[in-house]
Amino acid sequence: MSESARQTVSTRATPPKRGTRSVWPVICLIAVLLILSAYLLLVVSNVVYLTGIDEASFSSVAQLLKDLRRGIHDILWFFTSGRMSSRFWLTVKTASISTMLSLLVGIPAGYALSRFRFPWPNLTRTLIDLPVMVPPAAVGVFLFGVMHGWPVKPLCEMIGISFAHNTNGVILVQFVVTVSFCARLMKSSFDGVNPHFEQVSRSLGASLPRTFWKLTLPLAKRGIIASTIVVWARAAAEWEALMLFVGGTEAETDVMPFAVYLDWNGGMMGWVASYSIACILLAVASMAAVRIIAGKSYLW
Amino acid sequence: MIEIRNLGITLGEFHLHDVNLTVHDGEYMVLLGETGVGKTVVIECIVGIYRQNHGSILVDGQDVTALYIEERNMGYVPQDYALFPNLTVYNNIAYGLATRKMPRDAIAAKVEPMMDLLNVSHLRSRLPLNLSGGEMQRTALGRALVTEPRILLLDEPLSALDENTRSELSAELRRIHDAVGGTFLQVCHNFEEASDVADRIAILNAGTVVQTGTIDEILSEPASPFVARFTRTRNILDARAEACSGGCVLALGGEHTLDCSREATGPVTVAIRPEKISILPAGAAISENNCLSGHIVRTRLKPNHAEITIETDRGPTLIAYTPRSAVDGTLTEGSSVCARIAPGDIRVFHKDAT
Amino acid sequence: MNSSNDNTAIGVHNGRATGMRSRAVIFTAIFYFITVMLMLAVCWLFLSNVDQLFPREDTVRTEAMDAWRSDEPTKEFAGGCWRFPSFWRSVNLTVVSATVTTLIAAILGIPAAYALSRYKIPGRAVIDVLFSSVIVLPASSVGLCLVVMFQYGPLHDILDGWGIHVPLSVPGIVVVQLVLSLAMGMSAWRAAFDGVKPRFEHVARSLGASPWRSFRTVTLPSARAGIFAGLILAWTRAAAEFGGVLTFCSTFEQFSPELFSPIIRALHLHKADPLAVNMWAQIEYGNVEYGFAIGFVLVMISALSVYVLHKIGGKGYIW
Repeated sequence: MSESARQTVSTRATPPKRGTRSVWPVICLIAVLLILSAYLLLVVSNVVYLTGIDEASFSSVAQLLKDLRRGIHDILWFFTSGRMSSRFWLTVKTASISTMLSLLVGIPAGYALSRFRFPWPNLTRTLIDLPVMVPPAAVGVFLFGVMHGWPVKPLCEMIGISFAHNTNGVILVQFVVTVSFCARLMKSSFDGVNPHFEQVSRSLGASLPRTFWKLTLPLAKRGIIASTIVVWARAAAEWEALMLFVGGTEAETDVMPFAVYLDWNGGMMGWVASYSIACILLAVASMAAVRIIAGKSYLW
Repeated sequence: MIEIRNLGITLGEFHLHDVNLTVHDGEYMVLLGETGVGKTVVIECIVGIYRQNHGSILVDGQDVTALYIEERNMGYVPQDYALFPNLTVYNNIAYGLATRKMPRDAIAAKVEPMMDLLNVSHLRSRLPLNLSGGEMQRTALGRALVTEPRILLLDEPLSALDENTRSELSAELRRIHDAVGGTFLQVCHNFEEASDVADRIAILNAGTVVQTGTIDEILSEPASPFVARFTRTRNILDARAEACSGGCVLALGGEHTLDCSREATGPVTVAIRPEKISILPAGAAISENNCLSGHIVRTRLKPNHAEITIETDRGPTLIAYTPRSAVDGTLTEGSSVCARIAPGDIRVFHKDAT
Repeated sequence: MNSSNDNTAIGVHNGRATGMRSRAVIFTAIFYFITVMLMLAVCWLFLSNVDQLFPREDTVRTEAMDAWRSDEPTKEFAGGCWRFPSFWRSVNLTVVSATVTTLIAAILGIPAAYALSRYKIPGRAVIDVLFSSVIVLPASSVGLCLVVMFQYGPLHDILDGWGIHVPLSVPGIVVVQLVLSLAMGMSAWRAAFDGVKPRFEHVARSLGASPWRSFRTVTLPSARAGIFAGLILAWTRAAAEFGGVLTFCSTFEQFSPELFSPIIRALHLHKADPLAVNMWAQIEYGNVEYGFAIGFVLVMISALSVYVLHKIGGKGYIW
């Protein structure tokens, strides 16, 4: 056997020729570059629009400097005006409240999803993920239906709480849109904690709740903080469901993403551009914070 | 012939410097070193995954540093074998030939004998996911060998296997090497494993090759106390040497002295292989040269030998191996004995050597 | 732990063990309860509106007349939406635009995800942050950014020079959808490629395969599940896009056909809106049961894709 093997392999396979360099890595890098430049163009065109720099500005250096100074002055005016800060703080307030509510449900639900057994795992997972994938506009429509349907409407009237055209509605929408997203993220945070730690802790005599508070939560801390930031950013970015559920009311429901649309309808492109920039900055800042805190983590 | 000249690379915590290694055609070379010393990095430099910071890798006198991985034609079997999970055993082995755009029947003509040689013919249409460790290893070997690489690089091929299959497979590796007549370079951290297969061994320590040679050379002439320790020389002692005619006299503490046939002076480190110590009855110390008297503190029976720990009188503790059959009433714990070491079996190193 | 032995330390602990047991049960029960409530709430959110599909006598009578449909609202299930060509044009437009978007996203995103996963790119962390931030960008912002970019910016002048007009057109829909579906797809593709050890490629290349060949024959098949997951995510996200399309392309159901190119007209894409936009428009015009019917279609699409996603076990980074 070995004799025949020696015979057949005695003719050397020709080594691959030199110079057959693949263009594949180059294509990959070009793709990154394309996406990156499209993204930057998207952001930069807002700023360029806001500064009002156009072809005429490039006629001379003095003209360009003058236009730049005027542009920066304009941007500063937009970003320091009361209209910006009031809407910014409204966004922060509603997003923070709804994130808090989401965490109350999301952390226990995430832990349960990560550790406990549920019947029909694929079905339960689909249910939890459904509001993440359903278009938020549809969520808004369905929420509208629920709030005007039987047990909720009389109940709200009885308690005397209203969700139409006010900040309560904004918080409700943000909560509904983010709560299962939050549970999903928390599940992946808890998945990152090896259950061995919990088993050892319980074998040492710590009860399940004690293990959860003293061990699992601190171990999953980074993931939980990062998830909270993502949930907050998602809440602060919610608009579609808002538009369909609460509608625009000055100083009540005009959180920044909504303000972008309202001001666009009002034809105030300067405000539109500055709110867009603010939203992008918010999104990038929160993602950068997440990246610094938690590195990288799986969603699904 | 593969020559590595002054190879140096810094990679995270690994720092290799001035690695020199020559593998002759048809040779089975083992690169030996402790875990984390950078053996795998050497292999990966030869494959072309990493590019070295300085030095060169020559294949038949030609520098391959500038070549891409796919242009080097090195056979590479990583530690986890990395069998392509989407391809059957047959297609895994045929991968390299298919890449070279060989016709289908030519591929079969090469793959079939290779599968026979490696005893994997019955697995041809199985996916690697459900193969045993040994089968995966043989498939990975076949995949690398069928393209007739200039050298086959094996990265710890046996460490993922259990003890029993390991010895079987090292014999298998040697058989395959002899059958295909190729050039093999294996990385390994276990001296016994290396001694099963190797023609020559290179020992890597502190980022460089400290000794190269046959097993016999390395056992009898370790280049440093590290090599001595690594090759299971159990007795590494501190001593003072004084020169005398034909060698030196070593003062070992207590009143014990040993004649040594090697020349040295001053503080030295002494290495004595345990199987080179012969155990004689207590009275023999008077009549024999180079005897250390003491008593046995422990006798342990190992599978192939008996390990006897002797505490010499006010001197160092020695470990000696004797055949199991030699263990009788005289070698029980507590009995007085004397340990004789031939002058030629003592290796001395200068104190500052590591 | 045997209760009969009460001299040992184990026996001492036994008294506490019963209390701990009940606490553990309560803890588990609360967590189960919250999770089940969350699931039920999701079910309720989507199922309690089923009655909207069965219009009652009074709704039919009091609803404002349909602005977009010539015939009268009926008492049929879901307003009989499947009988109207506008519904099918909507489905057609959504499917075609989402598929085109997914194709473009795959062509751009798979190589880019591979590069980000394998190559040392300077500033990779920054690129990662920028790409992932798209997922938490408001849809209105995305849409308006595109509006500013294509209608006011320097790009507008260039494209105008070439006679290309992107906003308010079918390619515009694809552009909007591309932003989010690319971000979603890339999160999955990144994860898929990170899940394949580079060692496989090294071995393939040591056997003589070029980078492209080793990618095609080894990496791609190994990452197959993740690639499919990314395609599904990208497609679903594209089909679900609403805000961006509304702001960037408006609703063009009523645009005259002459505004569209012959290719678009040949594919019957010109007299419709994507499903999500159509849903909003129907509800705005008082056609609630029709809107809900479309809403249910969207929920079904999402549910199906999430279910398939879990079935094939795809993964995706969120950050």
